[in-house]
Amino acid sequence: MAQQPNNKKKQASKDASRAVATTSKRTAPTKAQRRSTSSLLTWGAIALVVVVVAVLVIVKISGGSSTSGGGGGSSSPAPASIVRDVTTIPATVFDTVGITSPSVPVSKPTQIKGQPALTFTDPAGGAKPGVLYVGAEYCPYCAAQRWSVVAALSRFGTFANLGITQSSAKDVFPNTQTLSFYKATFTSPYLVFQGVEQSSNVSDPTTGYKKLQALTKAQAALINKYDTAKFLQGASPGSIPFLDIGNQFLSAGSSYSPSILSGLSRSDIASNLSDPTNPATQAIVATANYLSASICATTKQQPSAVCGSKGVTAAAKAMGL
Amino acid sequence: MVTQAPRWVVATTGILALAGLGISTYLTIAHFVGTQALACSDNGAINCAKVTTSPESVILGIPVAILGLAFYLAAVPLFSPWAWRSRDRRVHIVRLVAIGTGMLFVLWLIAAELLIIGAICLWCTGVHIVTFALFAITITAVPKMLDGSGGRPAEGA
Repeated sequence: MAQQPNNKKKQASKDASRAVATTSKRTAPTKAQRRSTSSLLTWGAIALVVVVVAVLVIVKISGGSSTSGGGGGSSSPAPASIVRDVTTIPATVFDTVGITSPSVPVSKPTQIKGQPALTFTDPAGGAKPGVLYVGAEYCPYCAAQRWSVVAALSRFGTFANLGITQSSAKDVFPNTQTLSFYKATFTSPYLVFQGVEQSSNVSDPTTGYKKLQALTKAQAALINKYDTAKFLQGASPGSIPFLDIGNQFLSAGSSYSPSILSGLSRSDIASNLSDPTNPATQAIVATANYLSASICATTKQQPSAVCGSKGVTAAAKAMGL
Repeated sequence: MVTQAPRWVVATTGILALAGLGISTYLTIAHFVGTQALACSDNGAINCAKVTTSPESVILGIPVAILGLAFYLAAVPLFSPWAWRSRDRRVHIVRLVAIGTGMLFVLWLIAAELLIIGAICLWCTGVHIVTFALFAITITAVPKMLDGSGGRPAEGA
C-alpha cells in the first residue's frame, strides 16, 4: 500500500513518456510534410508562371489584344500650304544643306549595276525612266521617307492630289506626320513615278491594317527581285519603304531616323523646309539631294538646273557618280 | 543550418546570370545607339524596335533596358559560386526575393508586349527565358538549402 504513491508516480511518468513519444511520432511526419509543402510551393510557383504566360499568349491569339493602329484614320487631301512648302523648297536651301545633316545621319541610296533599266509608260505612251515607291501609311519609316521623295520628285515634275496622313500610333515612332501617295498623281517630262501605299493606318483584325492599293504584277516582280538582301545589304525581303530608281538605285527603309520628326506637326515640318539650319529640314533635304542625284543619273542629267545644282552635285560626288 | 547547393545549380545559374548580363548590356547599348543596332526583324509580330521604343519601354522615367542591366549587374554576384557557398542565410533569401521580383517584372513585360504593344522583341524574350530559368532553379534549390535538406553543409557552417 505504501508503494502505491510511487507506483502512481511511475505510471504518471510512463504516461508522460508515452505522451512525449506520441508527440515525437507526430513531429517526424510534420517535418516531411513541411518538405512536401515546400516542394509543392516551389513547383506551384513555377507552374503559375507558365500558366500566366500561357494565358497571355492565348488572350493574344484569341484577339483580345489591343491591335488598333490608331493614327486617326487614313489619308485626306493635303492642304495647299503644305503642298506648296514641300514642293517648292528654294534652290538655295537644297544647295546650302547639300548632304549635311549634323543632327541625324542620312544614308545614300544603293547603286546597283548590270540590271535592265526600269522604264514606265507615260500617259502619252512613251517610255520614260521609272521611279517606284512602295510603302504604307501606318509605316513610320515611310512617313519620314515620303517628305524627301516628294521634295526630290517635285524638282522633276508636279504632284497632284497628295494626301496627308500619319504613321500608326501603335508602331515605333508613333504618329509621325507625313504625306500620302494614295490617289496622288505625278506628271513629269523626264520620268514616270509610281507610288503605292499598300495599307492605311487603320487597324484591321485580319490583315493588321486596312489594305489600300495592291501591287501590279510588274511592281511585285521588282519588289521580289530587288527588295532583298542580295541587292540591299541587311534588308529583309519586302521591306518598306522601298524605292527603285530606274533599277540603278535602290533603298529600303528610311534614309534618316523618323525620330527627327517626333512631336512635329505637318505644318511645322513643311514650313521649316525654307530654313536650311532646321535639323528636320537638313535630314529631309540631304536625303532629297541624294535621291535627286540618283534620278539625274537615270534622266541623263536632266533638267540641268537641278542636276547641275550645288546640292545635287555634292550628293553625286558623295555617291561616287 | 544552410546546406550547399548542388554543383549543377551553381554552374548553371552562374552561366545564366552572365548570359542575362550580356543580353541586357546589348539592349542597353541599342537603347542609346539606336534601334538600328538591334539585330532583329522590324516587321510583323517580331519587332524589336517597336518594343524597345514603345511607351512601355520606360518605367518612371527609367528605360527598361537599364533596369534589366541593373538587375543582372546585381544578379551576377548573387549567382556567383561564392554567394552560393555563403553560410549567411540572408544572401540566399535576398537571391530568392530578387529573382521572384525579377520574374514578376518579366511577366508584366510579357503582358505589355503581347497585349499593349502587340509585338515581341526577340532579345527581350532571351532575357525573359534566362530570368525564368534562374527563377525555376533558384526556388527549387534555395528553400532546400535553407531548411538544411539541400546536401552538404555550406562552407564554414
